[in-house]
Amino acid sequence: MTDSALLLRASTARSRSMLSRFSVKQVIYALIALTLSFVFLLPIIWMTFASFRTIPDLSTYPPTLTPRSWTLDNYTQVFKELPFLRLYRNTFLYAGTVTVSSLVLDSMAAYALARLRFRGSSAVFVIIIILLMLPFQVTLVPLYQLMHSLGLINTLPGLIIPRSLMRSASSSCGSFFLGFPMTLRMLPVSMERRSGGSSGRSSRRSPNRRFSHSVSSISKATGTI
Amino acid sequence: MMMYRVGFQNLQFGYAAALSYVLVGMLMVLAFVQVSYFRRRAVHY
Repeated sequence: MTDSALLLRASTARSRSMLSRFSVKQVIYALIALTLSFVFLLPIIWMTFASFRTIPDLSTYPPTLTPRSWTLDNYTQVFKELPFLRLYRNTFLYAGTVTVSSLVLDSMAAYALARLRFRGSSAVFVIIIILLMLPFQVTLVPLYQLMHSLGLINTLPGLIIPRSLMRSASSSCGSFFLGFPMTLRMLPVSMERRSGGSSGRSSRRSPNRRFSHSVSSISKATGTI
Repeated sequence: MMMYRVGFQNLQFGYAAALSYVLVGMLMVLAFVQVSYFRRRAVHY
């Protein structure tokens, strides 16, 4: 017997032993799953190939899945026509400014509302909560009119200022401050190091560290929104 | 929005597909950088 015949026999025996490991039901399920996954993936596969096609190639009849002639023109057109650097700079500028302003202003507002007793503090807090409940669509038109009258349409400040002035994180930050007993005030870092242990790192239970967690979660939420 | 306009109003499917793939690629790079940066700085309790 030749080597190739031996190899063929070994491979068929291996495939038979692999098939015998699965029941008929499992094989049928796998086939159905494969067919369904192909059906669901077909638009994505078509889109992938479409990005390498020319417009005449896309409109030919009968349609084919793979391109008749491959081209990278679509990709070069994307980089020629879109100023990606400017778009990303605008995004980072907007997200960064909004996040920083939210962190500073929201935490200060929340501390004042949660810890300082002054006349009308609960009313201000309730007003903030009510304003948070309003959907953005309700304030959309008045906000546009306001920005238009200020001459801030199609500008970055026109995007940044309204978003920075929404006290969306005040309530969550306020509940954080309320959760702390009055006796546990924010410790300075030097005191915290002394009480936190010999390592010099802040204790996991310390208010500063907990507040930094709260701030990081707010910054993530603000940056995502 | 631009992808929709290019693809379904201007009927430039190839350009729209390329646009979407470029966007996906950039987002993947940014996500990878962010995940690797935060994994390094993660605090395990």
